[in-house]
Amino acid sequence: MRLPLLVIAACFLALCGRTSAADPVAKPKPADLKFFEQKIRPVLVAKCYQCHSAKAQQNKKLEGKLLLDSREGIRKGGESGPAVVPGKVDDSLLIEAIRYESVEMPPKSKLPANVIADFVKWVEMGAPDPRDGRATTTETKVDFVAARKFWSFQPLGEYAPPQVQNKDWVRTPVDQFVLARLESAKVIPNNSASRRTLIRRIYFDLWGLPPEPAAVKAFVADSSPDAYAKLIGRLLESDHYGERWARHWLDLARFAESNGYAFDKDRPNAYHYRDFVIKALNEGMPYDRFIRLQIAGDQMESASYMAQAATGFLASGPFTSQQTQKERERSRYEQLDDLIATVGTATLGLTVGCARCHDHKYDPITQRDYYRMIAAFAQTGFQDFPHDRQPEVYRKAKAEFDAAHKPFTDARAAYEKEHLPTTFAEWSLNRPAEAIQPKLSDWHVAGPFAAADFDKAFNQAFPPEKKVNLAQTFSNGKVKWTPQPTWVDGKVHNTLTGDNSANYLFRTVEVPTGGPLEISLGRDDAIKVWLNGKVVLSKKVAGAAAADQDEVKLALKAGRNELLLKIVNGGGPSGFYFKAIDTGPPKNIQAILKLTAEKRNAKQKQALLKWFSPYDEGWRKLNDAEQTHLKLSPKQDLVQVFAARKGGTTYNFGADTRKVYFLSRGNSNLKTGLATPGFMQLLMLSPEQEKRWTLTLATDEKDQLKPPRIAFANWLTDVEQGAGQLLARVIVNRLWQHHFGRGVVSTPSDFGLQGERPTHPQLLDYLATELIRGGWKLKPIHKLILSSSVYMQTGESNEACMQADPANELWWRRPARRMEAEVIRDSMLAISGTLDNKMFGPGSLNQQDRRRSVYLKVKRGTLIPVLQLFDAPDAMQGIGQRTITTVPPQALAMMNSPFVRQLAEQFSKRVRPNADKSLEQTVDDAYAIALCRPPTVDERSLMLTFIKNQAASYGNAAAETDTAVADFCHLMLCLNEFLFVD
Amino acid sequence: MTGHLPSSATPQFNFQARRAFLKRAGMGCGSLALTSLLNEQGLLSNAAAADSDSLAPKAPHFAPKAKAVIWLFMPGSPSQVDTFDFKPRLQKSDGQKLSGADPKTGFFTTSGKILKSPFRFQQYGESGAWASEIFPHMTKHVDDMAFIYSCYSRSNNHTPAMLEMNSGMFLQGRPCVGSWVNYGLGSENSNLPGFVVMHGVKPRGGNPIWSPGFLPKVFQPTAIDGRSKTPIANLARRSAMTEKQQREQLNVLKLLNEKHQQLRPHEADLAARLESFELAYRMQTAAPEAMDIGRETDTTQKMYGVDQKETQLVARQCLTARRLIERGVRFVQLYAATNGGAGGVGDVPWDGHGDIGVNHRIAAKSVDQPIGALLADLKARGLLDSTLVIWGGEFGRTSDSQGSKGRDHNPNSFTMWMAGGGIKGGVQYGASDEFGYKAVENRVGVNDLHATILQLLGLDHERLTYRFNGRDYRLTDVAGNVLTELLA
Repeated sequence: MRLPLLVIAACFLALCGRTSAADPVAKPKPADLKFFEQKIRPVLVAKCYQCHSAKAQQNKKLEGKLLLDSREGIRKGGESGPAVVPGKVDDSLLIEAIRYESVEMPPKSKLPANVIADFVKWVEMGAPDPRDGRATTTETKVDFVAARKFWSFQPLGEYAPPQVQNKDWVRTPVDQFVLARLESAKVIPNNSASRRTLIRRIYFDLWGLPPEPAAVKAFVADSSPDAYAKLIGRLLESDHYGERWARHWLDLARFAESNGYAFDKDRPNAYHYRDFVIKALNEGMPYDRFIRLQIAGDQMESASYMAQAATGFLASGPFTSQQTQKERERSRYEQLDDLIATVGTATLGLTVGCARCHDHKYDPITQRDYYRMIAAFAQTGFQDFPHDRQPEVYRKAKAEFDAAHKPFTDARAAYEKEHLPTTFAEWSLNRPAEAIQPKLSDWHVAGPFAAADFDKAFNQAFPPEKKVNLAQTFSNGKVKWTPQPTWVDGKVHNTLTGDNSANYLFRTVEVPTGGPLEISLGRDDAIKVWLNGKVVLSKKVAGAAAADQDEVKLALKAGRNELLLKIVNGGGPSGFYFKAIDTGPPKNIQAILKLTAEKRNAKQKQALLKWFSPYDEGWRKLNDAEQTHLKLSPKQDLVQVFAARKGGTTYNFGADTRKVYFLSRGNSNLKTGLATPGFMQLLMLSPEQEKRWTLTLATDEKDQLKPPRIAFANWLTDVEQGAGQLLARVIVNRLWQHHFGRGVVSTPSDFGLQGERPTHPQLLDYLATELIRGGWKLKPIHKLILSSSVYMQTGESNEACMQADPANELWWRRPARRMEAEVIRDSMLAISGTLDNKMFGPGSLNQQDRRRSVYLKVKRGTLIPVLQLFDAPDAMQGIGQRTITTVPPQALAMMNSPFVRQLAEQFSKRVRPNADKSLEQTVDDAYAIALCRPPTVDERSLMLTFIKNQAASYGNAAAETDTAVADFCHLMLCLNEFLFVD
Repeated sequence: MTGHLPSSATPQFNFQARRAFLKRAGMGCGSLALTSLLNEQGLLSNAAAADSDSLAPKAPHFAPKAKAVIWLFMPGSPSQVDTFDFKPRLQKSDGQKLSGADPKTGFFTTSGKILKSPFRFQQYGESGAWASEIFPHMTKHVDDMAFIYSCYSRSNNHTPAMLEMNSGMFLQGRPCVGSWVNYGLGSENSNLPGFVVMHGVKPRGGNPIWSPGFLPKVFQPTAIDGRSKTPIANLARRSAMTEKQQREQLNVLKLLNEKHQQLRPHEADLAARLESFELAYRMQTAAPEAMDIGRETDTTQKMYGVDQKETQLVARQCLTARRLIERGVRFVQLYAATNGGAGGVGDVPWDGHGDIGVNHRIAAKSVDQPIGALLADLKARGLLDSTLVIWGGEFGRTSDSQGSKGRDHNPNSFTMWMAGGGIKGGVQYGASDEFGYKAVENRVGVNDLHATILQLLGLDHERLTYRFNGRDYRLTDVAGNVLTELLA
C-alpha cells in the first residue's frame, strides 16, 4: 500500500499533531494478535508491501517513505505522519487511504468493505502488532555544498582569452576561446564568407528579413575596413531587430492571446506584453531589468507602461474558463506550476517544475523550494488592468478643469444655503395632506416621421421635438396629432407603424405641487423621453417592447407638465409600454415630513433639502449647468493591459484562493502546511540569507516583508549572492544559440544535471562576465559574437574536419540553417513587396495579413496554419529550442496554397511590372531580390527556357507569359537556397 | 547545366546525404520503396532508421499484435448504465436516494435520486455481454470485444477529460496518444499521413485535443473535417495549372535544389526537403484516392449507412478509416458527430444532461450501424486481427438524475471496449458498484488504457520517452499497468 509522500520540511511534520502516543512495547493480548495475523497481516502483505516495505526500499520501489512492514514503521508513518495511531481511527492516515477519502490506496482497486471494517476494528483495539524491527527510512537531504560544485552552479570564472597560434584568424576574444579548442584538436576552421553571404546571414539573423538588392550592392561595394561593423550597428539599431528577437523570448514565455481549453477565450489586451518585449529589446534595456520588470514590474513602477505591460510574462499561461467547482483548486496549482516552470526554464535554465511532487530527481532543487517559490506568486492573478499612458497630461488638465468647475459647484452650494430652505418652506406650506395623484391626460400620437435609416430617425429632431402643438399637422396634413383614449397604461401597445421612422407620443401630467413621479417604460425599438422639453431618457436600442424595460424618475413641477415620448422603429412592428408608479416621497422623508419643522434636527433638515432639491426650479437650473459643465471634464488616456497583479483574477475556491500550501505529491487534496515565500536554496549562500531579499528596513527600523515578487526579482538578478550569475550564463547562451543554431550548452533551457555540458565553458563564462560588466546590455554581446571569425566563416566542409569533428562541436564551419516559420512568411511578404511595416497593437488571426508574423495573433485553439507547418510553438509551455521538421505538407503549402501563390504573383509583378521588361532582366532581378545574388549563366538560361516552355503550354499570349513568370517566381520561393541561410 | 529540361528526374544526391535525409526527414521520409531499396543495397543502417525525430518506420520494442488503431471517440460521453454496464439495481430503485451520492460529481448539480435506464437490456453473443437496445448492430460483435467496466478519469469537465483520455494528462500541451505512437513506430506509408483525426463539429476544446504537444510537429495528426470538400489543406494544385505544368516546375526545382545540395553535402535537412516535394507531389494523388469512398461498392456503402441521413457522417468516417488503415495509416481517431436532431450540443453529442433517453437514442443511431459495419468489414478483409478498435468517451455519467431525465458527467465510472489487434474477445473486465456510480473492482485509469494500447502495438510504455525541457516524458507519466487480462 502506498501512502502519500509529504513535503520534507521537518517543521511541518510537527504541525500534524499526530504523534505516536501508544506504548509500542506493551505486549498485545493473544486474541488481538490472532486478529492481526488473520485479518490484517495477509492484507498488508498482499496489497501494501510491494511499495511499502524494507524490500521495496531495497528495490527502490518505496513510495512515500512509508514502511508498513514493521510496527515502528506503520506507527511512525511516512512523511505525512503516522499511518496508524492506536485507538484513533480518525487520526490514522491508513484508514483514510483505504477508505479512498484522501489518497486512494491500494491504487489498483478499493479493498472490500469488510476488510476495511477489519482495519478500523484493529485500530480501535489499539492496533496490536507483534512485528518488531526498525523502520529505517531516512530523509534525503540535499548536500548543497556538494551540489554547488556542478559546473553551472559555480560562480562565474574569470578567464583571460587563451593564447592561440593562428592569430590572423582571430578577430575578437570569442575567436580565441573557439580557436584554442580547434587548435588542440588540430581542426582548421573555415575562412570568412563572401560579403553577399554575410549580409544575407546577418539580415536574417538580426532582422529575420532579406536584405534589399540595394543594401547588398552597397555592402559589397563598401571598401572601408569597418563596413561590416557599420552593418552590424545599423541592423541592431533598427526596430526590426526587436521584432525578430522578441519572437525568441516569446517562445520561452509561451506567449499567447487566448486562454486555451474549451471556448479558448480571447485576451484582446495581451498584445501589450509582446510590444513590451519588442520595445525593451529595441531600446537596449539591460537584461536584469528586463527580467525584474517581468517578475514584478507592476509593483516596482506603477506609472510606467513598460513595467505594467511586462508582467504579461507571468500572465501568458493557459487558463480554463470553463471550470467545475472540483477543478478550481487543482487548476490554481497547475497555473502556479506553469508559472514557476516557465520562470525556471526561461531565466535560469532549471526545470523547477520537476520538484512539484517530490524533490527534483537530478538537480538540487527540493520540493520545499518549489512550494516556497510559488508562494511568492500566491497573491498574483491575471486580468485586464487600466493603465493611464499620460498621467501627467491628465493631472494638468484635471487641475485646470477643477478650477473652471469650481464656480458651478459654488453657485449651487450657495443656492442650497441661501435659497433652498426658503423655497422648501413655501412648498411645505402648500403641500396637500394626502398623497398626490398625478392627473394624466390621454395619449396623443403623431407619426410616423420617416428617415433614411434607423440612426437618422433616432437622431433627427422632427417638429414635435421643438414644440408640441396638438393642432399642428405635418407632411402636408397627412400626419397629425391623434388622441388615443383607449390606450390604457400598464400594457404593451404594438400599434405604431413605419420602418426607419419615429412616432411621437404626448400627454400632460398635472400635480398641485412639485414632486417626484417614477415611470416605467417599454419600447420597440429605440426611445427618447422629454419632460417639459428636457431629455430625461435616450436609448438607441433594438428589439421588441416589453413591460418595465426602463425606469425614469421624473421631477414634476407644480401644475402642468408636458411628457413627450419618441419611439423609433427600425422595421416591422413598433410599440411602447407606459406605467406611472405611485411614488410619494420615500419612507424616511415621509417620516421627517410628519415632524413639525422645529422638531427636525440638522441632519433631517439636510436630508429633506437634498430630497427636495430636484423639484425646485432654481436649484435645478444651477445643477443642470453644473452637470453640463462636468461633461467637459478631461478623460484619462486609459488603455487596458492584460498582465499580472496582486489580487488579479484567478480560480476562486474560497479562503485558500490566495494561499499556497505544501502539497504531498503535488496533490491539492493533501495539504501539509502553509508555505511562505522563499527561493532556491541552491542559489544562495545560506538559508538565513533570504532576508537579504525578502525584508526591507522600514522607517521605524522594524523589518518588514517586501512584496514577495519584488523579493523574487531581487534574488533572481542578484549577481553577488543570488541567482544572477546563472541568469547571465543562460541568456548569453541563448544569444549564442540563436546566432549559431546551437548553444554553447545545447540544452538551452536545462543547465541542470540532465542537460548537456557546455562545449566551451570558459567562453560561456567570458560572455556572461562581459554581459554583467557591461551593465547587462545585450547589444554589445551581439556585437561581440557577430564580429567574430567563428560567426563569419563559411559553411564549407572537408573530409579531414568531418573526420575529426563530425558534429561540428568545435565550430570549424557554419552550417546552413532553415529559416524559422515567421522568417519564411515575413521573407515571402518582403520579397513580394507587400510587407506592411506597421508596428505594435492588436494583431490579426488571418495568416494573409501583411504585417510581420510577430504581430499575428496567437490564439491557442486556432494557431496560424502556415506558422504551425514550419514548427512554430503551440504556446502551451516555454520552448527554448524549436524542433525543425521537414514534412510533405510544407511542400504542399509552398506548391499549392493560395496564399503562397498570391505572394508569388505579387513578386512577379514586382520584378516585371509590365510586358516591356525583358525576361532576362526579370530573372536577374528575381535572383537579386530572393537570393541576394545574380543567377549564373546556366541558371538564367534554365529559367528563361522554363518561362518560355511554361508560357507555351498555357497558350503563349501576353497573359500566359505573366502566368509563366509567376510560375517562375513561385519556383524561386520553393528553392532550398531561399529557405536556408548559409 | 544547360537550358535543356530533364523530362523526368532521378535524384542524384549522394549516399551520405540520402542517409542523412532518411534520418532527419519527416512524413514519408521512410517511404517503403526507398527504405526497401536501401535495405537491399545494405545501405540503411539501424542508426539511420532509428532516428527519433522522423516518421521513418522504427522497430517496436517487441513483436506487436496490432499494426494500426482506429479509436472511435464518443465526445460528450455515453452513459455506462445506459449502454453496456447493466445495473438491475437502478431499475429496482428508480427515484430513490442514491446513498453516498455526491451531487457535485458532474458539471452541474444532480438530484441524488436514482434514475433507471430508459432502455431495455439483454445479453448478446456467446460471451453473454449485456447491452442496451440502442446498439442492434454493434452488439453482433460482442464476442470480439473486451469490455472494461471499471474505467475512471480525473476531470468532470469535457475538455480536460478529453485531454486526459488522449494525452494522459488533463492539461493542454502534452502529446496525444496518436502522436506518441507515430513517434514510437513511424509511418508505413510515405504518401499518406501516419496519424489522421476525423471530425465533424470539432469536439469541445478543438485542435489542442489532438495536439502533438512538445513532440516534433512531424507527429501531429492530419485533421479531416468530414463535412469539408477539401479535407486536407493545400492538397489540390490550383485549377489553372495542369499536372504536367506542375511537374515541369518541380523538375526545375529539383534540378536547382540538387545543385544547391551537392555543394552542401553535409546539410541533411536540404536533402530531406528536396525529397519532400516529390512526396508531396505523390500525395496529391494518393490522399484523395485513399479518402474517396466513392470507390467502394454500393453494397459496402449501404452496409455502413452512407445512404441514410442519420448515419451518413459516421459511416463516411468509418469507411474512410478502413481505407486509410488498409493503406498503412497507423492511427486513426474518429470523433463521432451526430447528424443534427436533438442529439446534444454539436461538440459533445453524447452529453445527455437533459434527457438521456432522447439524447442517447439519437447519438447511438448515428454510430451503431457504421461501427457494426466497420467491425464486420475489417473482419471480412482479415484486418481486424491487426487493427485495434477502441470505443468510448471521456468519462461516464451519473447514476442519479440531473433534472428528471438527464445524467451529469461522472469521471468515477465508465465503460470502454476494445476489439481486434490482439484483444481477447468476450472478456468482461473490472466492475463498477451496484449502481454503476463508481468503479470498484480492477479499476482502470487512462494510463492503464494507454499502457495496454502501446503494448499491443509492440511498445513498452515505460521505455517510450521523449526529453523535453530537461525531463523524460512518457505517455503514461509515472503510472500505467498493462491490462494483461485483455490480451489474446
